[in-house]
Amino acid sequence: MKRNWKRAFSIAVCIGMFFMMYGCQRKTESYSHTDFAMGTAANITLYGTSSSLDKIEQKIIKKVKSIEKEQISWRVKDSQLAKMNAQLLQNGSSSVKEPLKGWLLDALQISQDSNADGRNTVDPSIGKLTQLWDFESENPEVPSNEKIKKIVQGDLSENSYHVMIQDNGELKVCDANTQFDLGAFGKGIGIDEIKKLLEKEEDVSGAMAALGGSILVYGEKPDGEAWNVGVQDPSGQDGEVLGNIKIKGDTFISTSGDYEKFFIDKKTGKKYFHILDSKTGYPVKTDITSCTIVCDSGINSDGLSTACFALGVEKSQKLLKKYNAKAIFVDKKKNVYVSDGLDFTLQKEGYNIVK
Amino acid sequence: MKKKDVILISVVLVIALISFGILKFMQKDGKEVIVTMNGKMVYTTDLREDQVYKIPVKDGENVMEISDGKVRMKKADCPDQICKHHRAIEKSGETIVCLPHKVVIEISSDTKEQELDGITR
Ligand SMILES: [Zn+2]
Repeated sequence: MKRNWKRAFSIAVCIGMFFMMYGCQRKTESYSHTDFAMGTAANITLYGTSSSLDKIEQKIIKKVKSIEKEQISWRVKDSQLAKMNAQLLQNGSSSVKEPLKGWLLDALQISQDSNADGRNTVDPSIGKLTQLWDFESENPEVPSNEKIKKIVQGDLSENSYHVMIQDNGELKVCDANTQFDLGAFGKGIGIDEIKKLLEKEEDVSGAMAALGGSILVYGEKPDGEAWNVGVQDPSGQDGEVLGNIKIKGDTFISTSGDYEKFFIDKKTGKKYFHILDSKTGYPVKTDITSCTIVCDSGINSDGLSTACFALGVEKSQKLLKKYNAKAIFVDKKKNVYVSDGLDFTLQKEGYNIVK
Repeated sequence: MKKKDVILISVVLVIALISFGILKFMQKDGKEVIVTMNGKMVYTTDLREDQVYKIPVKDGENVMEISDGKVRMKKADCPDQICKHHRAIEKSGETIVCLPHKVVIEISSDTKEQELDGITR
């Protein structure tokens, strides 16, 4: 009798072990999908115990598309921002409601903080200039010098200081050329909103969301390892990485580079890229070819990457400190400058890390 | 414990291990290549099968080529030509995107040996 008990117990243990092994195999589910939103590829990878990760992904994409269409796109006539721009052109004033109001206030703050050498290095209120160049059109061309001069003649170089948004949303501007373009902040706003959505999904334990090259890593990876994000090699083919950053969850990463959106003038053979100097009206003069920002906010990482690209290593330090952000700069001489405390590994040969 | 018990335990253990092995084997270890247009899947294939595939884009041309376990965009008539100049991909999680034609080529795999979670650019 006693032996039978023992035997039964042994078998039970074995069966138990089998299921334990099987259970270990069936860990967290994952779902990954690439769609198009905000004029770029939107890649979402979700990890979690939910059986409807695909539905959650659809919800996220839908949200990002609605932000673009209903709020921040200047190309979509019915968006809040486009309506605001139209009113500004008509009577020099307008009003703005949440959520756009909050995003604009954040962007204007970053813009003011980005001021150096008599210009804001990123500015959401110089839409007239960015629209004149229109780097996203099919055949971008160098605008005539006259047209550029006409736009930057006023105080456009420090325009974000002269945009007033009252508590009730009333919006006043000084420069008649003020038009809004959240291009330098849009993807950051998108990944901020994705994080808010993910926080409501208890069954999602980890996620990676990329709007173009702006990335959110959220929560934990199933294997508990650090998130691993590659940094594009500014002089390599698309998809070739310079190195990789290991980071914890709930972090945002954005990059600005001269290789992102550019065109070559057919007549002169000169290269023009999309980061404009609001003082000259032409692409900014900088030693930097790429600047990657790592911080705890999407809109900050996106805006700062543009600003720091224009500012260069030295002048960026104050700004980075204020926003508690870390950066990786690559200059034209292939020097790589990495902020202290950033776990970056250089993979590409031919580059030199400067301490 | 008697000898019989030991044998019984061993047998059960061996069966468990074999089942475990089969389960693991059943999970595809090969990498899959997935082509989507505007977010919708239009083609899937095995990364080990060398081939040339013409992606059915409406107004334009995108031709994908798989050879030696690498995928590239062999031909494309999109205005920016970014997809054509993208380096050949081979690791799971890697993608080639043609933004103008809204085409994505993605390598996926059940075994999560993905090296990078994303690329900032
Ligand atoms: Zn293409």
